[in-house]
Amino acid sequence: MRFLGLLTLAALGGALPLRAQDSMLPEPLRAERLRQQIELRFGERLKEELGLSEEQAARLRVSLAGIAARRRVMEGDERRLRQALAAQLRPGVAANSDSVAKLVDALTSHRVAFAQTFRDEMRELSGILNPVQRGQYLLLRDRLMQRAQELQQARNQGLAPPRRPRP
Amino acid sequence: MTEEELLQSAAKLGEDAVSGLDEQRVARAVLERLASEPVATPRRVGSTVRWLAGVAAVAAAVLLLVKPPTPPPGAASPASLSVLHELDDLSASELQLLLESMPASAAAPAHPDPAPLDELDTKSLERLLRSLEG
Repeated sequence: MRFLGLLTLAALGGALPLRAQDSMLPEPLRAERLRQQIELRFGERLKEELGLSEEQAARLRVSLAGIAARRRVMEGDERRLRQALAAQLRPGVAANSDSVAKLVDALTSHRVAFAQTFRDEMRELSGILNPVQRGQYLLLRDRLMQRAQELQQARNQGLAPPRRPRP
Repeated sequence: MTEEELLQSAAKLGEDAVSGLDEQRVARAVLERLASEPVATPRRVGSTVRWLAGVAAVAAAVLLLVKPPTPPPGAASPASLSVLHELDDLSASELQLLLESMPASAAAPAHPDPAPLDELDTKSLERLLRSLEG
């Protein structure tokens, strides 16, 4: 009897649409799964649009993953610097001028270094992609980044996330 | 009886038994018996160890066959690498929207890129907002 119950549950679970099952997952797990799907789809798009071979696609992925890891570290550093600056500039508390000056310098240098990673990225990719492919990559990546920024901005402004029709 | 006589008598003890003994026959008999019944070895312990080793080998083979080989730490496959750091701060619902806006195959090219929000005028934004509110 218990076996029959379990079997029914399993059958019902299988019958639920995948998206409905995903929506039942905890937020972090669901977000992680969606990130993986976006990464996968982006990889497929790159492969198709740039006409990459398997070997090229694998090399590109490894190279981009290295750059992404570097940027994640830098983003973490910048977050800490911004928090330190915000702490210095708390209302009602006298800021230490020296500390603020150092933090502002550090943040500025950091932003320049972050921008530099885009040049490094293109330099690295020149060993894998030809100039046309690099141009295609740049456009695809920009489009994705722009869309991500729009979603973040909508959230910060308290708007509903902008829906965009699939191109 | 003096001490000397006592020693001589003791030396003669068992002479009768030994004189009737055929050493060659005894040696042959011992060798034959040894040949027919090999010296007993600690067989049970040896066979148990061999049996256990056999079971362990079979178990290891089964584990190797059943369990997929795990890559060494730090050696991720290229397909599992994360390359899009810009997704890190997005929530699940935002990621869902992003995914839906990405074409799945080359059959639906991504080139006709709709204008981003900041390129829309006030009226268009209001229309968009109303449509989102249903």
